[in-house]
Amino acid sequence: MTSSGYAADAGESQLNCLEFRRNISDYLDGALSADAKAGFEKHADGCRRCRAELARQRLVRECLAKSPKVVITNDRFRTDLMYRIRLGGALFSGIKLSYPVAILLLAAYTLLLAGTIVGVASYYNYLEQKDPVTLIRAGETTTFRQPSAPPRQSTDIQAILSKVKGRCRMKVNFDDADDFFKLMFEQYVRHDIDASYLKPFAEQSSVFDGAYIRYDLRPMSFLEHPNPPIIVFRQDPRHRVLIRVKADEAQKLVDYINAANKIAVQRAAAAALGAEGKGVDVSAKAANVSMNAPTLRPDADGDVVLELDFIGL
Amino acid sequence: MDATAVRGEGFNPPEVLDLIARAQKGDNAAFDEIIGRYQRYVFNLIYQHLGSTDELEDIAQEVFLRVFKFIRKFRGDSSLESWIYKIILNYCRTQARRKRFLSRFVVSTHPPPPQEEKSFDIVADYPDPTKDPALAVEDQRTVESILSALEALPQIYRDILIMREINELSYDEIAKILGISVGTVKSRIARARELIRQRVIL
Repeated sequence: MTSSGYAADAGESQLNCLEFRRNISDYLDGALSADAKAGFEKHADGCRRCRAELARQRLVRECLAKSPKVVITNDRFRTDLMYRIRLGGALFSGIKLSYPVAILLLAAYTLLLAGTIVGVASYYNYLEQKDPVTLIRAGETTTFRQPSAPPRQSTDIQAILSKVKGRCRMKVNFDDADDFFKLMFEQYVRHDIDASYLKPFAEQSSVFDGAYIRYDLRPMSFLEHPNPPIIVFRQDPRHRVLIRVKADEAQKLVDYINAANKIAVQRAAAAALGAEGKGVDVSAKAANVSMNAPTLRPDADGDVVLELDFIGL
Repeated sequence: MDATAVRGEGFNPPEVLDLIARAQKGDNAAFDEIIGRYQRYVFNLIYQHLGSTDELEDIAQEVFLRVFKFIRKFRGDSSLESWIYKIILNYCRTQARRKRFLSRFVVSTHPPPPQEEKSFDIVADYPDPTKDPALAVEDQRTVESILSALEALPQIYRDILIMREINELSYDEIAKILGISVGTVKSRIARARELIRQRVIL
């Protein structure tokens, strides 16, 4: 329907219906000028449809004004709120801070916080020195590498291994087991043997657990242990490790390595090769490995460099 | 009376100016008086703009606490009612936004806890008991359909219509509260009325 249709209804009205409708809102709010108001009312008198529309808009207005209202029925809200305000006021009354004081207080607070953090950190450091704390605790599981994730930097493993001071359990992706073990071995040699290879070494037992190999590590002297760690290199056909030790300790280390290798071969012979089931001792993989006798070579500092060649069969 | 209060002289009656000045000095009695004076006003506005009585008292408490927190900043360039209205609108909008945001993550499976004794009641002056019951029921239906159409309007139109039709604020007051021009107020009201008319068959 067009506005001209309404205008015909309106007879001689000066406003057309479209303009009339545009003005309804202002008319209802009394926002039309006297002239515009007169023209508006004149159109309404002459146009039935516009009159009806005006009536409907009035009805909407009246209905909206009838919207439900809230009435207060008791003083509970007021009492509760005043209680809250008085409580807050009592706690903070009389405290008016100027900016310099506020900044000083903030600085003092920050210092206190920083001091606390440093204090707590020093205390833990002291405790660790006094009685070495196991950073990787019993039962804790560290995943060396997720199956789909790229390999981590070896420094991660170094960090982990250098902190093994108590019993801990590590979980290593099966495919990474050899790499991990190489690193672990190198790590112990570098950290412990260099100072004194009689320092606690980790007893380890490794169990295949689905997609992972679980290593249980416990500190102890490796030379005293009846079942020394076995070094397994599966993937590399030939791997060379250079170990720098003190000259007078070199032979002990060679003896140890030879003994360890011997045991590895013995154990491997008893174990089923290639078993994939859970709970199988993966040292069985040592059957694939042999190790040449280490060679010793003095270096410029008077220490000895051991060259270990591992040959995968 | 301090300078702040004098500046607000045109908008607020003397007793309100006195109340504001006392509240600005942290006078608890003035706070109490303000609560008594504006409690109904605040409850009504929250109810109208949020459209529900859930947490009405909690929200009113927060609103009053904001009023008292910021009353020192009240410059007196509007009536205290308008200033409170602005605080309420801001609060309600923030609440609505927060609810919308949280509703994406939280599905409430528990009914709201039963309220203790309420300090308010909701009353409606329809249906008219003096009217013929059949007509009164018809009237009630009309009012309810219009109010539900109002509820369904986009927020900018709903807010402005509530301000104009229910609270009878002038264009100037609405413009000040919403921070928009009088021309925008007019056109927005006209559009809101048109929208509501389109959604209700009368």
